[in-house]
Amino acid sequence: MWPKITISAREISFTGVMTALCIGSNYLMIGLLNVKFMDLFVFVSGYLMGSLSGVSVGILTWLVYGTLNPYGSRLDILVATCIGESLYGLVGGLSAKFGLDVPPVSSMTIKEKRFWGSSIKMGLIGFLLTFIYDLFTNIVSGITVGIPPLFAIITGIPFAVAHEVSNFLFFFLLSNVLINAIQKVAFRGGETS
Amino acid sequence: MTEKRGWLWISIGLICLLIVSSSFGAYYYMECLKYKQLYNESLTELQKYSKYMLVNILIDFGNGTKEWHNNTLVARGADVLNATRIVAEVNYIRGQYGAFVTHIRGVGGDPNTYWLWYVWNSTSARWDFGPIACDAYVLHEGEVVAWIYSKF
Repeated sequence: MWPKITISAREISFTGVMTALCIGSNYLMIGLLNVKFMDLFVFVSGYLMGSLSGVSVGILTWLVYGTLNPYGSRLDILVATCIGESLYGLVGGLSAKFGLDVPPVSSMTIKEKRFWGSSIKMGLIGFLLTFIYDLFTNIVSGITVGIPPLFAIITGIPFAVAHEVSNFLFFFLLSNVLINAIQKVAFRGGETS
Repeated sequence: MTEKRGWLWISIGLICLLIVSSSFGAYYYMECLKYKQLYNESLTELQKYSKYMLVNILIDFGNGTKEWHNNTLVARGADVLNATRIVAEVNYIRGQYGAFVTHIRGVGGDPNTYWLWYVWNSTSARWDFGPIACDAYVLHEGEVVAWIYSKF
């Protein structure tokens, strides 16, 4: 028996909005190879709405961006990127489930060790997830075009490092702020004062 | 428990640094191998050319048409005739003093008009008449020779 999955209207609309945000930012940053906000947005989606929502955002984004892409489209690579991207959403959901702390952002908390500790944790998660994503997609791309996987990994190193370092910075600097902002607007109804 | 978690995150941070440094190491190692291979290929290519030299050849057809064949690659030890045959079709006869060129690219055979060759004298800055037969004069690196269709 399959487990019964229930999705609320709020989750569906949130998934749609985050997917639109991912697609829009991807096309905006298309000139910057492997530097994208998408991974952060997918992770944040998973963190705020659960793994299912995060995975959905990742897959839906790639279904659009991976098909309508000026650099070309291949089904096998599209499947690999969908799987790789959904990892961000899955881990985002698991991070929230297992209590990865995101302190509220304010002029007071930003001076606290707790805030920066949490930011570093987010940065490290972003880095490791990106490493796994790049490793996986480079191997699949190599096999697809018929070059040895090790060669594909080594030739992809400059792009992989750019992806990993940029994601570390995005996760480190923006994840806490973004999670707090979305929580405030979407779940608590905006600023009270 | 909190201390343990702290060390866990420090370990994760170190793993990330390890990934970045290993990536750079692997990448630059491969780059090093690539450039070593390119260097060796260039050396092999250059060794091929050690048996050759560059000379400049002028062909003056006597009707105002002058053709320069600068940096013509010829084998070391090549004579003027060999070098000229690389850049143009040459007809010649062999006499008791050596080869005598009759036609270059079909031009020749007019009454009292002959193909004569000259070598550029860089010291006096003028053309010196070829001292011996064109198939007996061995060229040197960078030398400039001319064939002039001259009427007497």
